[in-house]
Amino acid sequence: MHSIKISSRFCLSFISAVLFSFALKAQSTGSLRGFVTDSTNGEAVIYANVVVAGTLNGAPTNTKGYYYIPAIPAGKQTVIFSHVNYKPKEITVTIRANQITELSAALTPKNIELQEVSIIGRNTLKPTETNLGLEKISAKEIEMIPIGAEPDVFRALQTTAGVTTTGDVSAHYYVRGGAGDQNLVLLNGATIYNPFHALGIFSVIDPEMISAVEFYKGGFPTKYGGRLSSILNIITKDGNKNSYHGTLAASLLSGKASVEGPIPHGSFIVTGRKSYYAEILKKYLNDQEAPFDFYDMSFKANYSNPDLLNNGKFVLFGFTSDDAVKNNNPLMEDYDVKNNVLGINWNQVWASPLFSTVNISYSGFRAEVNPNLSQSKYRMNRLNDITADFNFTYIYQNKDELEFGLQNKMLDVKLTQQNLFGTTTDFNQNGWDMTGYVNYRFYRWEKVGFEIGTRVKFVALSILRPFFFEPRLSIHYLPFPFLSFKASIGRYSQEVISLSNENEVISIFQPWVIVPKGVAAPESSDLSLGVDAYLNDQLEISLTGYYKYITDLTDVNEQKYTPQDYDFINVNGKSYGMEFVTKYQSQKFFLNLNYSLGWTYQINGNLIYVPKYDIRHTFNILLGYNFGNEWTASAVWSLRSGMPFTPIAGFYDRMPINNVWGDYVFEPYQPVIYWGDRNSYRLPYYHRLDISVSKRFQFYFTHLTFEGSILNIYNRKNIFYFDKDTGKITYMLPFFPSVSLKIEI
Amino acid sequence: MKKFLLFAAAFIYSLLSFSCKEDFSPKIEFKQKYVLNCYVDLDYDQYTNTKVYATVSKLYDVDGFTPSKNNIDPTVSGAEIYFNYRDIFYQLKEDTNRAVRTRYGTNPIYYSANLQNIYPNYTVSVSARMPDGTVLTAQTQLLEAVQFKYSYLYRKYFTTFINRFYSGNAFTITWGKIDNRLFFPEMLIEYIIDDTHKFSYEKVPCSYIKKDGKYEPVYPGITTGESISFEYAAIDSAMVNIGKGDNDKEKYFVAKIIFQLVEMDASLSKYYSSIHGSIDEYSIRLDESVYSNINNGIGIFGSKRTITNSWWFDSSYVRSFGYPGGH
Repeated sequence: MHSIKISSRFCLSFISAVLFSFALKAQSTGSLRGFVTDSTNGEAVIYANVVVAGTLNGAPTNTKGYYYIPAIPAGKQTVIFSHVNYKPKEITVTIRANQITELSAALTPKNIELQEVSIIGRNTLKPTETNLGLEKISAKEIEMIPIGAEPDVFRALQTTAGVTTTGDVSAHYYVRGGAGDQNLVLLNGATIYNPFHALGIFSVIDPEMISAVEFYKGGFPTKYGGRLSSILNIITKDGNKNSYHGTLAASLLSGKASVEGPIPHGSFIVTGRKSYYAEILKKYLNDQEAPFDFYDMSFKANYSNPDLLNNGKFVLFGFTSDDAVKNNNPLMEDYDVKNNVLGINWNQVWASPLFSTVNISYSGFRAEVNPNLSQSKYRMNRLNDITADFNFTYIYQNKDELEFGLQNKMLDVKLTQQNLFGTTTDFNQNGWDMTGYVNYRFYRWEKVGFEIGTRVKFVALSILRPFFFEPRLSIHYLPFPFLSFKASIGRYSQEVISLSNENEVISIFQPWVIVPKGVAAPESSDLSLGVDAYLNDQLEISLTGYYKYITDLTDVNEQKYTPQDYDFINVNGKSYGMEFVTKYQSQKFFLNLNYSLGWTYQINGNLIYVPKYDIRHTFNILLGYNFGNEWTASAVWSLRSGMPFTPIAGFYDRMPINNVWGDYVFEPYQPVIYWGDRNSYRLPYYHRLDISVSKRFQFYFTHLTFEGSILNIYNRKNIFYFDKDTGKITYMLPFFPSVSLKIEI
Repeated sequence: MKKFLLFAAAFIYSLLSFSCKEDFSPKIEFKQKYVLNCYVDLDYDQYTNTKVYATVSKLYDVDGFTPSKNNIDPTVSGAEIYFNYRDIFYQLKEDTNRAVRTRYGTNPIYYSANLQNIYPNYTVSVSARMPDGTVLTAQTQLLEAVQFKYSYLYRKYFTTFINRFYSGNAFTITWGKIDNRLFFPEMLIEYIIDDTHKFSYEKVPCSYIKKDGKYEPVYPGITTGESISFEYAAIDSAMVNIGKGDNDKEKYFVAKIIFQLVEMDASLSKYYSSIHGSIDEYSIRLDESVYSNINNGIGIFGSKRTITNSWWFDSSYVRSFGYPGGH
């Protein structure tokens, strides 16, 4: 504990010294800052561009709608606020030398008729960003993906380059060769441990509550940690600050409602969703009966009272979800999975160019399999996560930025399960993770910028703890304004893992634990190189290559035959590949065409094999078209290599030992499959076309949006798996029409 | 607009020209392999009746994916199988069990040897030469000999009328903790029904649990533990069950209570573990890893032992349930 105090003091002293030494360099320039909001509802406008006309000064708004522009020449300046979905706005302001001028703007949404089919909040300042693996996804993009059972943020992710999945049945996603549990899902900063409904068919995050999504596929900044592959940061809506609104929506599967409106010095939003016709999910499960019942609810309230605290904003948010399968059959098991999240954010813009956020949250996860009188075993996993993060961003007059913070996570985990022999094992863990981070962004030069930083783990959760430092570096170089070369290298670690078996194509029980005794916490080293070309305002092309080496991955011990054997073993892994993305966006037409080529391996001693999420080629085309008169249409076509599988190498008659008291050689031998090498063959190529048409119209005082979708329009028989006992082939989702109706009041 | 619709129509047509269903087989080219199953059934009591059994068969292929469609017996006849114990080679003799029929309508071909003076803990090996010259080998370590300890010693005859203040509510048999070993305990009550003149057995549960208002027996299962306990109340209930519903209790001659334990060595335990067990209804595993310790083939070579102990019932105890018998 003593060493922790010394380290903390040292870091704070260092940060203060750096911070003030740069601050003294401010000369006859001033700064500008403020918030950009939507004039109709007061919601923050995320990723808007704020540019000082006639200068190179500008900044995008962050996920809170906040911007800060340093080093603006003193005097009268015209500031242009713009965003693809809003009418641009120009405001003249006087910048005072060595002072921060406050300027907030409310942007008016473009006329619906003129509104583009914009799905990603592009901004002209993008080439200067060093975040190589960052995808910014708006709620519009999620809505644009043709829906099956439900509109889904994870389905939207699966159409981005570098992300793949193993089937229609699963919203689980795999990023650049990483396993499913290497993806962190954050809701307003709080971790969601089970972000899936109905065995993983779709996500628990109702798109209705999403304001924006930041998705890091690699090279994520030092403020993010705890996972090896990706960070999905979901920011929910604040709620309408001007008037009360309600929305009702229904799909074939569920009904949902949301209410939002102003409160004194703030706003609120409450959303809820409940299943009512889970029969539709049989389509996803090859007509297998699965009596799902689920709901999710979220709320968010924000409060910003300048009389109480100038430039401060408090956010209280909560989320709960429950998934149950209740068979009315004592010979079948039931299961239940719950998430509960409660958190508070405090965002503060200080008198100096310092912006801080404090996140304190609780996230609880509980999964239970009740075997009843079936052959399955009782299993229960409970996880309580209390997180307290303190994050600070300081922007210098020379445009450099310093980010630093301290993150604490206290975990309490319980896993109870019966093994093959009916013996119950209890697994209780608790621990504290305290990590500091610091990141310095050199943005002072016009053509070159870089970020350098590290995470420092003061207290680790696991016994075989990861390395103390996680250094990260990213660089961008702009030889021309339209061309940006980028590179990033970093080290990442993960101490909370899911003990799911990746060999199961469907797994109902995916317990989360701190890396158990006997296995080390996984760590990865990640290198990415890329080039982005902005050929004009409408066309953007990017090419990215990556290489990732992971040590101490946790894999199921295939050689576990006795309870004394460890359930899991450490293996190493590596993945490498490239991604090519083209995006075209005009007034009426949107195209996103991306191709990913990747290799993923796991290495266990001399044995090298590919995991089931090793997908060699992935090709996606997203098309959107605005016909006018509030008619829109979209289509998604996906093509990818088949999933690796273990082939049948023959058959044999196996000695079954059903009667341990008898003579085994005289028992009727059981004809079974003899398997070939693990994952040594591939299923045929997967491809599917989904289309969607929507029409929005006014009906008295309401707005109605009607959407019709068809998934797998040409009824491609994509193979999901073949039964290991019968060899019977099970196909993925067939031709699947679906409709939904949304009523906005 | 027209251009877009034309483009979209052409695009969809090109997609439809893809075959909606492709030929796919999860099978790879079939290569011949042999399967050897061999186990040593040990006699550590008298050391006079240890048996070694083996079967040899071949992998086969069928049209489709249902192995039960195979109608050609894959059993191999004419193999030369040697069991090596302390550098003494015993050849297993080929034989046919005429009392049993296989699913191919044949009598199972097996290989066996009866051996004497086979002692615990030795490493033994097996070597099987197939008719085509292929040789399969394997090695295992014979079982240790476990010894029973009892929570209560019945110097004369078995009864549950004991001082439970001192001896506890359950009859516990302990054999000791050994890693990587499976044990299968069982307790039976042996009795004869007058008109059948055959031995019958009533299985004794470890205890009863109350579920949905009813008492349900809990029978001993596979265990890696070092002991098993049978509640005296459960033994009493098993006694009641023998003649339950029959007013004529006199025809049940209740003789003995028998405890038996099958123990498997590490190799056989691993094999058993890998072929038994289920996860749940919804999780779907695509393959399974079956333990094999056979070189140049697949299958298992291991050892097992059945240990039995029995106690005659005390006649007053048996009488208390209305039955004759005991001593």
